[in-house]
Amino acid sequence: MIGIFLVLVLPFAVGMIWYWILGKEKKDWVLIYLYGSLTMMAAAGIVAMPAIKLRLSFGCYRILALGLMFMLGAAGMVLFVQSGFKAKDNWRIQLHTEKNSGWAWGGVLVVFLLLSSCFFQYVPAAKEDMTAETIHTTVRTDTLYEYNAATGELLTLGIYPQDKLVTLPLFYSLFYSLGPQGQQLSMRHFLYEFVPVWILLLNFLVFWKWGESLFLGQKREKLRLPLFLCFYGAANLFGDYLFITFSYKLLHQTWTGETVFVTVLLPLLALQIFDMMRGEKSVTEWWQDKIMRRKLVPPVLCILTGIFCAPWRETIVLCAVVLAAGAVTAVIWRKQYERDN
Amino acid sequence: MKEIIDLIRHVMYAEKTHGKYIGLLLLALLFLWMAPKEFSGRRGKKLALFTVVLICFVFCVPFLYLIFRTTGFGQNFWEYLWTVPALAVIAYVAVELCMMQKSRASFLGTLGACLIGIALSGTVLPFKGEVEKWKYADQNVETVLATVSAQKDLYGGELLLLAPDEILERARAYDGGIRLVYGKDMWDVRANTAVADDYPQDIRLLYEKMQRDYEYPDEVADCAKWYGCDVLVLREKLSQGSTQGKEWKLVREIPGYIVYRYVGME
Repeated sequence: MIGIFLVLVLPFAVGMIWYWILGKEKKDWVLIYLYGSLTMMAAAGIVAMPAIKLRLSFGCYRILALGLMFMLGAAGMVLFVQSGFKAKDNWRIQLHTEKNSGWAWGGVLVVFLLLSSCFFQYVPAAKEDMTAETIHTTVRTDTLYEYNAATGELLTLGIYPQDKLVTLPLFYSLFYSLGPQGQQLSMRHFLYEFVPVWILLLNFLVFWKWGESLFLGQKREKLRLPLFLCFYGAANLFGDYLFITFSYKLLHQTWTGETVFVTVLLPLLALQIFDMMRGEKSVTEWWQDKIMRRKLVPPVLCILTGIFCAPWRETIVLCAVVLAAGAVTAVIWRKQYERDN
Repeated sequence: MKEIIDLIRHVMYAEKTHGKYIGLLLLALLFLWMAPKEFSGRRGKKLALFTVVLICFVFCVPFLYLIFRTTGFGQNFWEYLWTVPALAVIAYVAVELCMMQKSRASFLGTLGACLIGIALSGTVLPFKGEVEKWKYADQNVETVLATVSAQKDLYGGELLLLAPDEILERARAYDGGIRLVYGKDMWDVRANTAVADDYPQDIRLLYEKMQRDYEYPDEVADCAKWYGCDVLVLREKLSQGSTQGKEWKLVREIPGYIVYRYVGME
């Protein structure tokens, strides 16, 4: 129950902080949940770094990390109340409905359930992965990265410093240690079934935002969004062997930090960069706009969370490729705009 | 030079094996570029431009080579392709194609055609990926692990195990109370690369001996005793009259495996 509360309710509370940071007037529950979840992952990583350095016990780390998450959640709720939750118009109702679009939303649900069913029938591709072993070792030995997860023996030389940054297994350990372990909740159910469904949900929410960004203001926008999600889901379902489109990782190695980075953080970063490109504004005009300037903060969250999920070199390189491509696109787009006008 | 050739080979490999989805993406981009403004709109054009720039970055071999040399990242070419929002572009164009239709019949026809196109470019039927490749040996491994895990209470909640690779590979993920003399990082270099420690020579020799446990089960059992193992899984029975046969008690026989636990000279 506590785990479900942490995964489903706490991100909403934590995500409220982002409305204060971004200075938005309208609240959007998809973004609140997404940013809240990522902030929780980042908070767990930020607490883990000194905890590993100081050789704190896992129990101590758990108290500190959960404490920080609850504090962020409380701060988010205070900001939410202050921002005037009474004004119903402030809420942007995201579940778009239009006459005859119910079937498309039904399709999204079917595709999501089909993709989720993969986790229950596929054998997880965990041959070289150590996440499950790391969670078991952390919870059992009550230490942070001091034991060899492959054998359960105390390490002499320890773990390489750059690999200590990858703290996603510790984030999972927080939830695993709160749940009923052993007979009722095995690692298989937790890591290879529940966690993937949650990550798939985050992935769908990111592409929900992609759809909104692409179809905003277009004719029959409310039918386009569910159709977009249906096609996106179908492409994943039929392309589950593909490495080039991350579908393989999404369906076969969902729980890994690399997958979280590639399927959630990288598309979200690309979307944020894509949304920042406004052909009608020059760089100076863009920088003078306070709201636009604040839009630089979420990409920092994505990159920071990425460093805690995947090896830092991978995170930096792939984020740099997206940022560089975004900058080049913005320049071309601006020139095109100037030529057209 | 060799790295550049390898990268070019990776590019060709990606095109060869996943050509259908790359083809679908290229078709989608072509549509976004060529379609009249009222269909794809400014956002569609912006998406196409962003994707094309990303593809140019990804396929720019000297640029990748520079990254590879400075950071060491990117041994697998497809890792760079993850930056391209390929599925978003394909899905966007599919939606635009459907929305272009005026009548309900043509809308439904286009919807079906797009879904069939996506299916034919992929695995044709869902759940048909390379799953078989990952299937573990069989149910027997699971039974062995359950049997080993059940012995834990006899040893105060933790035991040391020596077993064939396919058992060790899953043992720590199955139960954290099972400790191992060596883990899957012994034979799979991709596993546990974060750990600085290396196995000593004597454990490497034990690993080699364990590969042929069905030939010398008594010798393996002797080594396991020396390393303080509590439970031993072999693929061949221990000799009945030998010392090892008396020190190791048979717990359970599972097709292909025999589970023993150490009892000493009772």
